Amino acid sequence: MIKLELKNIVRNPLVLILVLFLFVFILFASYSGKSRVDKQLEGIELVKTKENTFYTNHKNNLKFIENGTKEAPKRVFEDPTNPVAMGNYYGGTYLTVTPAPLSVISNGQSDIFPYYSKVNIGGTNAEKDNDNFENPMNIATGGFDLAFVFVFILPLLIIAFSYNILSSEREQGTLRLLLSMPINIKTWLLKKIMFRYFFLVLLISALLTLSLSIIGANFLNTSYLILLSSIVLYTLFWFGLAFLINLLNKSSSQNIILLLGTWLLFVLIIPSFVNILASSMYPSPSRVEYITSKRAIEKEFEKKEEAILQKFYEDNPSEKDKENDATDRFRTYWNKNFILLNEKNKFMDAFESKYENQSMNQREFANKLSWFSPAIIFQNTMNEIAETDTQHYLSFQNSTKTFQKEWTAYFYNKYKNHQKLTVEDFNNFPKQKNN
Amino acid sequence: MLEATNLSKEYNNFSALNNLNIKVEAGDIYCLLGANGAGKSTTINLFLGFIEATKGSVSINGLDVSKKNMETKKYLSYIPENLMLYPTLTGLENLEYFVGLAKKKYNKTALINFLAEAGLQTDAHSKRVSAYSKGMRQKVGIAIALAKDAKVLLLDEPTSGLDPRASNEFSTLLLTLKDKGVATLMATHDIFRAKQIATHIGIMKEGCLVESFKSEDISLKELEDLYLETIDS
Repeated sequence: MIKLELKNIVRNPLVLILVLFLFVFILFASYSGKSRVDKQLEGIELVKTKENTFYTNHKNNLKFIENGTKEAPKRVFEDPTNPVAMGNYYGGTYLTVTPAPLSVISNGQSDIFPYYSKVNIGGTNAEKDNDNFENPMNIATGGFDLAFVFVFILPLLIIAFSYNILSSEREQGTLRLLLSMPINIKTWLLKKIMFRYFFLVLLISALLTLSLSIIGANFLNTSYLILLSSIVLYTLFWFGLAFLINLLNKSSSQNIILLLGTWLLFVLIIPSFVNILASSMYPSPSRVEYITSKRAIEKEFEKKEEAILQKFYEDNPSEKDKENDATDRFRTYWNKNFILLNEKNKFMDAFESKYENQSMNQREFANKLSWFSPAIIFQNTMNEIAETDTQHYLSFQNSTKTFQKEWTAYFYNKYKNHQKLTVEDFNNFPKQKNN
Repeated sequence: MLEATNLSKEYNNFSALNNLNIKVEAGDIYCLLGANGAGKSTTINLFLGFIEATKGSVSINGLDVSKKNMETKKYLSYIPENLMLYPTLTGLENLEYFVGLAKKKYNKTALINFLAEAGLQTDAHSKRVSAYSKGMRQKVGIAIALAKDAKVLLLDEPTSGLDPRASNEFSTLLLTLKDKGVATLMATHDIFRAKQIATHIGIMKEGCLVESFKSEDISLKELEDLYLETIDS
């Protein structure tokens, strides 16, 4: 029976066209994902090379200074022995988001969040460094990735593959003969649907594996099994829906209208509704508003600088003595600057947490509502597998902030103790963990 | 083998079948004649269990169709007016598929023999059914009945639209099945075929069986006159 079902399917020219389309979509989406990941890797390599060149040159200079064959540069910003010069200004390190092995499957939030961030004593500069020009069409369409193929297009293929299993029997005249057989028509329909389900799942798995092999993606890992399991479940949902619609005993045209209606509902209407509801319940400020407010806050801070310093010296009189001890303009400036940077970070953290909390509330609310649409759940799962989900980028942002404190502390300790950097110190600069 | 007792079927106060009593024994061919809407197809549908009787009962092989529908379908084979098969499969594959649904298992040679016995030319066995004529599809229907080892054959105007040669071949096949002890109930407009193959003939009008007699008791001419007289009255 399986052999005959298979023959019945593969001899249908429509099925062959669907398979061909599916393969083209999967392959194209894989290439699209790969080009995005390649671009990300190129960007990471570029900034890392820039960083390595900077520190290698200064380390080499330092070797000559240490063995006395060269004098320390007069310009303080070029002095490799100066902790602030090496930890700030042209110095600093790039923290990067290394693409996950299956990052190719979903663009997720990668077009919104930066994948690298420059960290130095002055702070983090994620927005400023990620100023690549993006094809406006890509932004408008959201990119053609595998997540798009599976979340949006796959259900349409399933509908085309299963909308008329029972109705076509009636319309082509085989139903009466079928009903005269000693079979339960619901069981028969379920078997037919399950056969098509397994056929399509195996086909997708094979085409996906083939496409990922062609583009050279690393997919021999647990994430790939999770991805396949998610596809299996998502496909099961749509075939289950097709089974129920077939059971309604309507005509093929009525079935297809009903199924396309449910596609619209689950894939477009509910996700849009969830977004609208989340945005109206927890409205987040626009990027322009955020930047304008940030600038205003920074200006406000600048106005308060003198008062902040005065208060700090009142609370820490010993620090005032240090300022008086400063032997050059550079140290005078940085004695104050370290105090102000610390206070500014606290000031800005309070400002940013207000926006972050609003975004977090919005996300949590949307996540709760996502159970109304398997399309949202599946999309989120794909983003998590690809590590292009919001949470992943926010973790990166948080780890960047934590790392910035570690970086500053390392150089501040040297500065505070009037220590000059050594070649050994260059090897011990704080480094990004994981990623 | 095949029995209807006080069988009635109503649709929204319209009586499609009224108090029908017929019995078809093994080796009998019972032809139901009548104009369109006389209740012939309703009778066939009731035996198939496609619709439920308003009153009375139908049984196949002693089993009540309304209670043991799945069981009764093991004993019957059905050929509608226009038997349709899966166009992308060959005749042989269609036979294998439907016989498989009836939980019967045969090897390829046995299936080919059933098709041959049903009179389908050998070169057509492996051709897709989309290229078959109606007569060829009817032969596959007979092959299904043979392979299913059906005790009861229900036919709803099976020769309608067949050319005389194909119709004649089909009649011969029914006689072969009759000799094997199959009880056949056939709804038809074809008086000539009915007289040729039936053991019993019934004439229906407006849901009622108005005449029922043995075929041998009446000549073709008398049958034709009686039929016209009945439906015109």
